[in-house]
Amino acid sequence: MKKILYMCLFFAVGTVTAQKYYTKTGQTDFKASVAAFEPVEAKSNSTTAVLKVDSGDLAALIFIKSFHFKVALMEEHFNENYMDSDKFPKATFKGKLEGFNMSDLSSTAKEYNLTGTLTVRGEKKEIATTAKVSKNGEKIIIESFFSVKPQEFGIEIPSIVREKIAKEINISLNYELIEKK
Amino acid sequence: MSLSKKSKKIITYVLLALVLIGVGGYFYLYQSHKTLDDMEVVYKGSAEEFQSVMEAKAKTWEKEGDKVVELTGVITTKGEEAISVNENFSFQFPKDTNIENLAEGQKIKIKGRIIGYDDELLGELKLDMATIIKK
Repeated sequence: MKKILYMCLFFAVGTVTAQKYYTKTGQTDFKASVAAFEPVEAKSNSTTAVLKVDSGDLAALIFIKSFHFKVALMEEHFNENYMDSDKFPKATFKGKLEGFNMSDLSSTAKEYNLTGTLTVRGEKKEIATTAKVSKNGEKIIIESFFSVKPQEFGIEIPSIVREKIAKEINISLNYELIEKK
Repeated sequence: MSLSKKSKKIITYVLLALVLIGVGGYFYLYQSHKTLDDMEVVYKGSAEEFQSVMEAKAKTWEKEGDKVVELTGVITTKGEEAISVNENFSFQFPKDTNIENLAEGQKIKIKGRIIGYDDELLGELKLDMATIIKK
């Protein structure tokens, strides 16, 4: 009897810890535009993100190639000269929404501290920012924003275009997660 | 002041050259985005058989520029702008593509550009620029 009880408990805990929300089509934008020059910005609508509901652990993965620029040549240079996307195809984030609790969520966004490690071109950087989390029906919406510098990831900007690319790159993200069954 | 015939000719050529450089430069700077037709097709066939091929080759493909695959399989999940075919192949449609008439369980022939193999989170191959060939 005790054994069965333990087994039930084990499975119960197992299903609770396994509860995850995810998206395959999260939107990540970056802007490195300088006023008066051609806008340097791109959007990717194919970020994969997974949120573990019990712990607030958030993991995201984006393929550099999926960033879409308005200007095709800029996209080519971004991939080939700056991001080396053939050599480093993905960027990842592994972090945590501090104090996350599913039962606190409502349609009004709640702000959480979001900390974690961003890996781009094989270089790691600790990120600390805030994220707005809300619930829309069955979906969990996560919105966040942070800035990084190209040199933190070993990206060199040639002097000829240095004036046209912002010193700080603004990254914003908007993920609509659904429950993983 | 009148210019000699020779210098008029030179000026005309210089202007013509400048216009050509300008037009050429414009087309170089604002060239159109690549389409699936500009890329190498590395696989055509059943999604089921593609699984093992993909696991073996994905890393190489990621490093070799744009590759296209064309799969025949079954839609296993459907999102707002993407579908999964045989669970492990996630096809993303260009913005504003209407995919309302697609349904889970439906057979599909579809092609797209490989963006990468997510071996960390969901264990799937991601593709974008998806184009439906046959429903």
